[in-house]
This record gives sequence, C-alpha cells and structure tokens, in this order.
Amino acid sequence: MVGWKMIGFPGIRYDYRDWVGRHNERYPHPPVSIAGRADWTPAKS
Amino acid sequence: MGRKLPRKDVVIIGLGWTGSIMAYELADAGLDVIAIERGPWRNTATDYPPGYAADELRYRIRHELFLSPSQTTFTFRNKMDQTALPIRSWGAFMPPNGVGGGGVHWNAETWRFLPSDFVLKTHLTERYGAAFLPEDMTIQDWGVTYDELEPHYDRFEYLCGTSGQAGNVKGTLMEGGNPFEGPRSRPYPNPPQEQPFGHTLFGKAARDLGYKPFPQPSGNMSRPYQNPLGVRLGPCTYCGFCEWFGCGNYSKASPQTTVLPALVRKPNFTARDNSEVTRINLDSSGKRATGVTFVDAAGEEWEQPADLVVLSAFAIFNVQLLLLSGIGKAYDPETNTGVVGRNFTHQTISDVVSFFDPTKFVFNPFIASAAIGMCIDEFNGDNFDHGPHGFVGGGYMGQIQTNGRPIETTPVPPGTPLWGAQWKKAVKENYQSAMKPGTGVHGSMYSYRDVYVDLDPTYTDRFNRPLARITMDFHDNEIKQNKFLTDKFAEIFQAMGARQMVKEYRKAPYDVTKYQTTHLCGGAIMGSDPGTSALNRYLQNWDVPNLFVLGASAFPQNAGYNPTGTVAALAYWAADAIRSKYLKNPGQLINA
Ligand SMILES: Cc1cc2nc3c(=O)[nH]c(=O)nc-3n(C[C@H](O)[C@H](O)[C@H](O)COP(=O)(O)OP(=O)(O)OC[C@H]3O[C@@H](n4cnc5c(N)ncnc54)[C@H](O)[C@@H]3O)c2cc1C
Ligand code: SF4
Repeated sequence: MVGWKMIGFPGIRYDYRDWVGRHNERYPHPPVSIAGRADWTPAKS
Repeated sequence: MGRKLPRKDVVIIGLGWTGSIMAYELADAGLDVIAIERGPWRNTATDYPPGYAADELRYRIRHELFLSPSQTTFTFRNKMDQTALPIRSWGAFMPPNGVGGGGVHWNAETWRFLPSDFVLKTHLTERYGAAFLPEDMTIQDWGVTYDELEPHYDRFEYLCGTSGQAGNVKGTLMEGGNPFEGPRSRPYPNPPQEQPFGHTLFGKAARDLGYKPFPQPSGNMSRPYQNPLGVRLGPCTYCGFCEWFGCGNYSKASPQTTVLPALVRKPNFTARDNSEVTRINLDSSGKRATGVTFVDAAGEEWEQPADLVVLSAFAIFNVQLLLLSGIGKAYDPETNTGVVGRNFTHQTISDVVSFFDPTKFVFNPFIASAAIGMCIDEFNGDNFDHGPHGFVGGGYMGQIQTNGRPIETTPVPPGTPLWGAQWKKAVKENYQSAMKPGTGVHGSMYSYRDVYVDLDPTYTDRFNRPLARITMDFHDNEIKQNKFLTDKFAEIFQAMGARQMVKEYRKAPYDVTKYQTTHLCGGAIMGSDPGTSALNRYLQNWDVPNLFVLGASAFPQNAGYNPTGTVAALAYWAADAIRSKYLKNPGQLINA
C-alpha cells in the first residue's frame, strides 16, 4: 500500500459516484485493499 | 461416438452473449433447448463479488476469467510462407470461457455499425471506383441492411439498458449525440453516464476543433434499470475494475445481468457446463446436422442429438468447429476457393498517451467505467472523403480511459528508466496527470485474400485434433488509415494542453503478443452467394440448413467499432427468422 499512497491510488474503494463529477479535485481518502483497511480492523493483542 | 442422451429440439454450442439470447428466444417459442458450455457456470455473487472482484493481479494479469491456453489455443503466423507457432500466453486478444462468455468481462462499449458498413463493397465502389480498392482486398456486402437490423439493435440496447445519447432518432438529428449514426427508432433506454474530468476535457477540445463529440454508448448503467425480461441492474459506481473483470455490482450488462435469470426459470431450458463440444454430427447425406458430440469434465464423451444446432462458440471457435466437423468447403487462398476460414479480420487499434502539467491537472484516472468516455465519429467508415488519402476504412476515436489500475496504468514519459528510483519518481509525478485512453483509436480492419483461418498441419489440442491456425498481417491500407487517424487523435490532446504526447501507431507486422481488442471477426461470413459466404443472410449455413452460426464470424470485414452490438442484433435477427420462418417450414430459407 506504500506504492498506492505514494501515487494517490485509493485502492478498491468501489464507489465513486460522489466524486465522478468533482473535476480536477484530488480524491481525499486513503487507500483500501481487498483485505480491507488496517484502521477498520481491531488491533491484535 | 459417446453415450447418447435424449433428443432435444435445439442444442446451443456455447452459452455466451449470442447463445444466451438465442436460447431465450427459442425456449420462449416453446422449444426444448439445451446449451452446452465449455467453461464453468458463473454467477455474480459467487464468482466475482465486490469483495475480491477488483483483484488486478488475479484477473487482469493472470487472466482468471479467460480460456487457459493449455485447454486450447491457436497457432499464429503473419505470412503464408511462414511456419505457425502455438500461442502459449494470450496477447492480441483474450478468448473467453465459461457461461456468459465475453459478456462477463467485456467493456460494454455498445455500438451500432454505420448503414454504409453493411453495403461496403457497393458503397465504396460507387463512390471511389473499383480501382481505388487494393487488388487483394476481399470486402463484401453483408446481405442484410442497417434498416433491417435496426429493430434488433434496439432490442439488444433495451435488453442491456445501454446508457447513451441518441444522435439520430427517425432521421431527426439530436444535439449531443453521434450525428453519423444510422436512424434509430427511439432514444437509448438510459441517459449517458457522467463523465470524469479528463473525458470531459477531451469532449470540450474536440468541440473547439469543430467536431461533434458524444458520450460513448455504454452498457455500464447510468441509473437503476429493469429490462423487458424483468431483470434488474444497479447503477454503476465507476469502480474502475471493469473490462477484464466481472462486475460485482450487477451494473454491467452481461448475460448474467440481463437474460440468464429469465432463461434459467424456463422449464424447457437446461444447460451443461464444463463440457466442450468437439464435433457437430451430420447424417449420411452430409446435409443435415443430427446433433453434437461433447466431452465433459471427467473426459467422458457424450452425444446430444437435436433437430436444430446453434453454433455460438465465439467467432474463431465457430470457424474451428466448422472446419473440424467438415461443414462447408475450407477456404484455400491459393485457388481462392472455399468459404470456411475466409475473410478473417481483427481490428486496427492505436493510442496516444499524453502528459499534462501535474500542478494544473488532477484526472483521478481510477474513477471510470469500461465504456465511459467522449468520442468522435468524423473519421469512421466513409464519414469523410477518402479520395485524397489513398486508403479506405476508419474508426471512432475518443478519451475512453477505463482505469488507473496501478499495475497496468502508470504511464511515464519516454526515456524514463524501466525500474528504480527514477521510474518511481516519474510514476508518482505523472499518475494523476497523464492520459492513456487504451483503445483510443478504434480502426476498422478490412479483409484480404491472405488473411484467414485453417487447420494447423502440426499442432494438436488435448483431443488430438488440429489447432486452428491464424494467418494474419496488416496491409498498407490499414497502416495508412491508422497513421491518419492517430495524427488526428493527437491533435485533440494537443488542443487540451498536453505538454508531451506519445503516438503509439499500429504498425506491421501484426503482433500477436500485444493486446488490441478481442474483436476477431469473419471466417464463416454471411452473404448472398454460397460461393463466397458460409451463411445466408439469416446466419443459416448454406450446406446444412438446420445449423445457424452466430457471432462476429459472420462479419465479411470488421468496421471501426466494437462488434457486440452488431453481433447481438444479428442474433436477434436470426432468432426472428427461425421463429417466424424456419420453424414453420424447416429447410433452406434462401434459394441461391
Ligand atoms: C476483455 C474484453 C473486452 C471486450 N469489450 C467489448 C466491448 O466493449 N464492446 C464490444 O462490443 N465487445 C467487446 N468484447 C467482445 C465481446 O465480448 C464479444 O463480441 C461477445 O462476447 C461475443 O459474443 P459471442 O456469443 O459470439 O461469444 P461469447 O460471448 O464469447 O460466448 C461464446 C461461448 O462459447 C463457449 N465455447 C467456445 N467453444 C466451445 C465449445 N467447443 N463447446 C462449448 N462451448 C464453447 C465459450 O466458452 C464462451 O462461453 C470484449 C471482449 C473481451 C475479451
Ligand atoms: S465500472 Fe461500473 S459496471 Fe464496471 S465493474 Fe465497476 S461498477 Fe460494474
């Protein structure tokens, strides 16, 4: 995901209906992978 | 011959786009229909759910949804004096496999051909004179006209819920649509998709240059849709994992999202998956098909008898199965006789990759669908005067970029090292501000005497049958066409303010390792003369009247569009002929 963050690829966010018409605005959200996102998953003890 | 199964009215070979449409139409007419499909059954929820549908490595790079060349492949050569070699990893085209066929992982760019495309030979000869055409070009009229196909194009678009802007409704030109299209009986069922930034810029620049840009007709839904069979599709979310992938969202028109749910509810329809048809069987007269032989996943051979055989296995597999079954005379380019394998074509694709100032342009390339984009049609077919240019044919062109997937779509300016720190820096700098339309110039490929399919003399498949051999190269006409179109295309990116452009012309020799499209066409073409066509105007085989052959194999030459709109319109046209004519009086529909 380091590479995705570096270039600004948001991964598989899947739904961009709210952003398709926002022209020339940088997409603001961090990437999501097929396995989800670390901060959506409870930390292992 | 294997164990015999109970007889059916109809056997369908291959359950992709055309097989599904025909199966539905004939089951709807009350016939007992069985479909036999080489690949696995595929469902959205179990095979490509949103959770992992967007796996670029699995689907785009490792080709999970496609035919494995170890199951079957083709041999390839450019010229007749070369020895063809087997294709061991797909390149120029991606043969489908499994229920839904190419419809599962297509882009859903849903075009109609121009009225003049169907009478191409007559039209070009009248306008430019026979001497204008290259001597070895073998283009033909189709035997069917645009006006005859119009209601069938319409049916397919309403089945799919195609999103688009009409350009010509019953002869009245509509603002914002394609002014060159043939008249349509009504507008598209859905409005066009919203366009992302880069695509919109292209449309604006094209308009400023005096062209008439329009949104590409798309089988990705611009809004929720219920089709005439009662099947529902959801709105496309512009997820950017579309072509080469299945849609987990039920938003891309495919057999699964439009016709199969209605078809499988019919009690007179059954299907077998993972079963490869190896032969169409004939009776002793050779003039009547008795059914098919197929091999199941366990390697067991079966015979499925049927009164009517529908071959809908995708263009080149149709040709291969006709050759292997000894139906119709095989084409011989030396003597210019025979019909099966003749007039085989593909497409002439090129691209322009352009780089914009990263401080001014943020394209968010990952926001897209596979049939998104703005196009122009000024340089397609015979929409412009070819007289001064010395070639025929053309294509649509557009900013139709489908993705910013990071393995595939990280364009860097020429001269950048292929790896390492400099490469990373260039990817980072250009990812958001480069444009890579992909199949940006979608050129026609016309037919030639030395471009064809036959059976390979050396290589065999897992059943020990000869592989189909492709002999194909680009001719000067297509190379000239592509140079002209690609230069015109680049002018539009220039007008958009690109600071650097790379024109990726299509050049000879034809390269079987570089993806173009999966629009293989011809080889079992339709026409009005059994001496130069394998099928009559209803896609009925001239020699075996209880065999209909569906797919782009029927195209006498390929036009400057994606084929499936026309492939499906022809399937509906053939279904209509079977229902309204053939079933009443089974036999040859045309006396030639
Ligand atoms: C990546 C990709 C993108 C594409 N994008 C577009 C697009 O945007 N627009 C467009 O117009 N077209 C597009 N196409 C082409 C489109 O998919 C085909 O034109 C369309 O699917 C053809 O329909 P068909 O019924 O002839 O064949 P298919 O839909 O491919 O169905 C043929 C079926 O027959 C089966 N079969 C083959 N041989 C046998 C056998 N011996 N026994 C049993 N079954 C067999 C196959 O497994 C397959 O399921 C694309 C194709 C690909 C691969
Ligand atoms: S871009 Fe749209 S139609 Fe294509 S896979 Fe994504 S949601 Fe489905």
